[in-house]
Amino acid sequence: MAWAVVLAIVAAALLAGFLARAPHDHQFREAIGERPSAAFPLGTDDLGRDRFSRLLYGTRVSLLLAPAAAAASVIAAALLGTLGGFLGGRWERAVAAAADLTLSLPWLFLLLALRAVLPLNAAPWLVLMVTFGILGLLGWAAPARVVLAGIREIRNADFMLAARARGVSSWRLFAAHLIPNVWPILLAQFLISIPAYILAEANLGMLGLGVSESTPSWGNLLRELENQPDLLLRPAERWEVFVPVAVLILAVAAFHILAGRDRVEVSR
Amino acid sequence: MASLFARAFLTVLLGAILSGTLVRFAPGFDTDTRQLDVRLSESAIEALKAERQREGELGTYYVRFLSGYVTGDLGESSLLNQPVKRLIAERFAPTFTAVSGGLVMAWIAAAALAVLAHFFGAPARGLLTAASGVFLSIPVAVLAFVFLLHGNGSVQAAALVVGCAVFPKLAQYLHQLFTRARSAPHVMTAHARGLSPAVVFLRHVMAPCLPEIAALAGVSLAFAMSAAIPAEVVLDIPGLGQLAWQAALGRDLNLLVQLTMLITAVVVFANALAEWPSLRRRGAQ
Amino acid sequence: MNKRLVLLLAALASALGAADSGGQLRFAIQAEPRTFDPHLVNEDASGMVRFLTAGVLIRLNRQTQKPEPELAQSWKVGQGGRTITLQLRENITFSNGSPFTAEDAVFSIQRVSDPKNLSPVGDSLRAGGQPPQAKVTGKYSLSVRFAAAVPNCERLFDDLAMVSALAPADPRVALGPFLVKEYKAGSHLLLERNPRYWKKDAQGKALPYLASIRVEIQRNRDMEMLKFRRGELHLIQNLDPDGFSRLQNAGAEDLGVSLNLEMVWFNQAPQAALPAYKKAWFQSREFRQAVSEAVNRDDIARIVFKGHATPAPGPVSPGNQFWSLKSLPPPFRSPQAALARLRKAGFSLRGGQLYDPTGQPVEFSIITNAGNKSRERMASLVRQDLGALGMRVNVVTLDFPSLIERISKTGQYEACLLGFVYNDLDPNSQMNIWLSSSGTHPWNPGQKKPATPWEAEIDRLIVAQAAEPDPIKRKATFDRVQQIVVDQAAVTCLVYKNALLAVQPGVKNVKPVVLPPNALWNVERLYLEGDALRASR
Repeated sequence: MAWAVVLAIVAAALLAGFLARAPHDHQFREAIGERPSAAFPLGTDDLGRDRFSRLLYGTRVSLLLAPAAAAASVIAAALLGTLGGFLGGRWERAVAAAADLTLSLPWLFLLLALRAVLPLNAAPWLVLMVTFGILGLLGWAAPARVVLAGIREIRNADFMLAARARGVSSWRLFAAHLIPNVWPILLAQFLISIPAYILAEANLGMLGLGVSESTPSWGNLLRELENQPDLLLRPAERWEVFVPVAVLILAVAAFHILAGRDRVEVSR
Repeated sequence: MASLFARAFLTVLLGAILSGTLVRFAPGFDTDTRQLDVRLSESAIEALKAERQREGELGTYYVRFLSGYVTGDLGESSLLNQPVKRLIAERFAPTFTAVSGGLVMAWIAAAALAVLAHFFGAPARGLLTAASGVFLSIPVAVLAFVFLLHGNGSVQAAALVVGCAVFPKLAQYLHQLFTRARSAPHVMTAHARGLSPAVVFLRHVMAPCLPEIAALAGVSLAFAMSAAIPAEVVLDIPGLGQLAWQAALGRDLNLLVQLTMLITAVVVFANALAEWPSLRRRGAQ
Repeated sequence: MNKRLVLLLAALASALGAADSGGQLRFAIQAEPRTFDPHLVNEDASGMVRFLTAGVLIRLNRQTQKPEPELAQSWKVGQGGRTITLQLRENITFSNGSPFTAEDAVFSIQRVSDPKNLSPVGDSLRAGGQPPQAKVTGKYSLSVRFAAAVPNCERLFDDLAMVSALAPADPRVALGPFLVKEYKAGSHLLLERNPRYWKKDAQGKALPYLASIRVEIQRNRDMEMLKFRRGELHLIQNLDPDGFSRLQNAGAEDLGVSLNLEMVWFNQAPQAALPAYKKAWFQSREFRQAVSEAVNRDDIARIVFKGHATPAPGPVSPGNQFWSLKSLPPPFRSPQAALARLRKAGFSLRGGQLYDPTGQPVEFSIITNAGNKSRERMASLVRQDLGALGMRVNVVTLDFPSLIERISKTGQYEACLLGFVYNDLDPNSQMNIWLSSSGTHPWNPGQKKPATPWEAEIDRLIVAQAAEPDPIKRKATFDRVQQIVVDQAAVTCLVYKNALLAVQPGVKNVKPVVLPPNALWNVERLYLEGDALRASR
């Protein structure tokens, strides 16, 4: 079921160019805030842009970038976490301290000013990639802690002690014994991070940071609710405005279920 | 133990210094909206610029910052023209209420569901998965926004938002802990010996999990603090989270550093405290 | 003697009655006031507090836009605006009971013009780079001498708060209708009635009618609107168009065109760190004119502002009754004409993309401040309008400090969409916008000498009008400035926003105007009635 939801959303995103009837940024200025119709399946927003098209392209942005960010953070966590955990002692403490430090710094601030550091004429997709990349790299700390804890357990596991006793070289221990055992942890962290980044982007969008206006993303589409908040009190009246939120919640829930199943397997 | 707290202290200090550097070199630090006032003369604008430059001298700033801790003077906020100490004192209460209220709610709900899932099997487990799944999938800012529109922009609403954000993670983690503990051999034996389920749960499932629960308590504080910032910003609650947001938008170096320091200290020391029992145990063994 | 006592008692009774009947007015502001020292004010929130608490010598009537006697009962301007002599009202006391005399007035003028205070009001008093010389000429009379002629100099006194020479920095010692009673950062500000306020109404009843004002500090405008709907707030100032449509039948009012202009300008600085071909576009009058002709201002007013804005033909809004250039025709829009203009200048359109005479594709970015919904939307509309000419426009939203750094310090931007907020009607207050040497001259700040002949002409005119005592001649000169700005498309004027606000029906005597502080300009005469009054208790 969860797989079906994710696959359906991914398919919709991939086929955006095919399914959408209008470009996501074209303003139909004589059709502002229209209700759903044959021409605009989800109506138009307050600049007259096809909401359906924006949803499809926004899905593309969020679905491509959240896993990318998750991958970035998990790779960084894997590098630092496994090395720290494997080397132990001072190294392990250093990685743990760095993780604490990263978790405590005001990174929100960095995101606030990030767009200002990039060249103004940078293509929107590049800006998106960099934003999510940095978001991902900054997110290394939480998975790194999990990796460290996992490695601590594996390091002291019987098979590792036995291997060490047999005189297996450090490098071989690392490559042949540690990595295969850390892999499931990394995979689980990756899956958990995807919905976390989808939500992060949505939260940033609500706060007015994140992806800039003309490029649609889920977070961006949520801002529409902010513009017409009275609708929240009467959702039935303009249901189409709620479709992006519903898709977002559905996608995040589906990812959580996928990640959750794996996690239980890992812990067994 | 001393080294644990020493490390926590060092982390906090380093955090403050790094965040100060981050603000200082962020774009827009050197300018001030006041410079756009067309009524000001060139010399006044120059004076404003010079003032900003002085504020941005990091070396001097850190000396002042560190000596401030000795004399108990946390300096002024350049954005709000007020002593940082007073601002923090005034804004502490709403954040404390939101975070502590949220944590209490989240812990009660999560513990209740996890215990239910332990005793009543599949249906209760389904409830736990569904409840935590729903709350895990809604962005905090959206949640706060919904409360706002239903006419409740109070601190209680912020507590509820924080609670909703922390609850699902707690519930899932507690559930996992209990599930793992239940399958341990000694628990099976205890069941076989005919001990009452409540006794088995308290003595053989709960008790061994206590160090992890303590660690979770520390981590949940960090979760709650990070949920408090968007909640306060959206609900417009004059707490520390909102103050930090304002400080970031206004490039208020001192205010942001002091707040980072405070928030980091709370999180890091809570984590250290949570680790302490397990360390002591490890030492005793 | 008896008669006096009776009068006194009557005054006291009516004062008590008014204080009791007026109730507590409640409204919200979005930003924290940074200071309560009326001489250090440099942002809107503190400016509003100053308006409510400080007394001034001459007040600009917000309705007629003409100066009126306030603490000065009369004045005389001499030597073509180089001197002004003022006669104060007698027997006026500060809120602490100490008398207000010419000593205090002179002290206030000297204090505000102290360069150390970095006061915008003080700086606007410095004619010819020199602070004014103020002199006590009698217990209730003073004279002020400027180093150079300041036409229309009485307008400068509208922001110039009178403070006590004995307690200058104490906000509780003031001459205005209200006094600061309590301030909690991030939460609220409480103002209470000044029992010694000097004004009385036609019946001789002491003003103000309101017993107190509670100003909530509420950043979130949804929250503000909610509280308004619940009757907890009586007034919303500076409503945005979204808010207006939400309160359409609940007290929202459109006051018509305000002073504020929204516009786009190109970075025309020759030293800007941009490729030479881009600088050539931005410095070309034809290019700027074409952009101006391609932008659909009607759509901006209709879609972004939901009809609550007026397409702008020039830089000064008709909300400024005397100074705006009324002969400007409505903005001309024709994408075909724009394209023809570009073709004539050597540009060419191939495959939907515009190329400049050297074969470079025309692509540039417009920056605007993040979080400002109407600006983000305007930029989106401009992007599509220019897209129709084959120009590729990137809209980039930056947080405000980063934006200011780019436009005022580093000059690293191509085009910028922002607004002018005018604090004052007189063109002298706009000197630093139009003078090419000024640091706040938008398109090319801080020029050593004017980069173009037309900027030199603007410089000449704006300086000439500042020294001209005859208002009609001044107006003609300033009209020329406006005409040049339009002819050169120095900035692309988009729209003038309308002033929108919402007032509860229970607030009486409200006569909102487009000039700030909109509904509060006659605050001493406002009072509450019915539900609003009950709710305020």
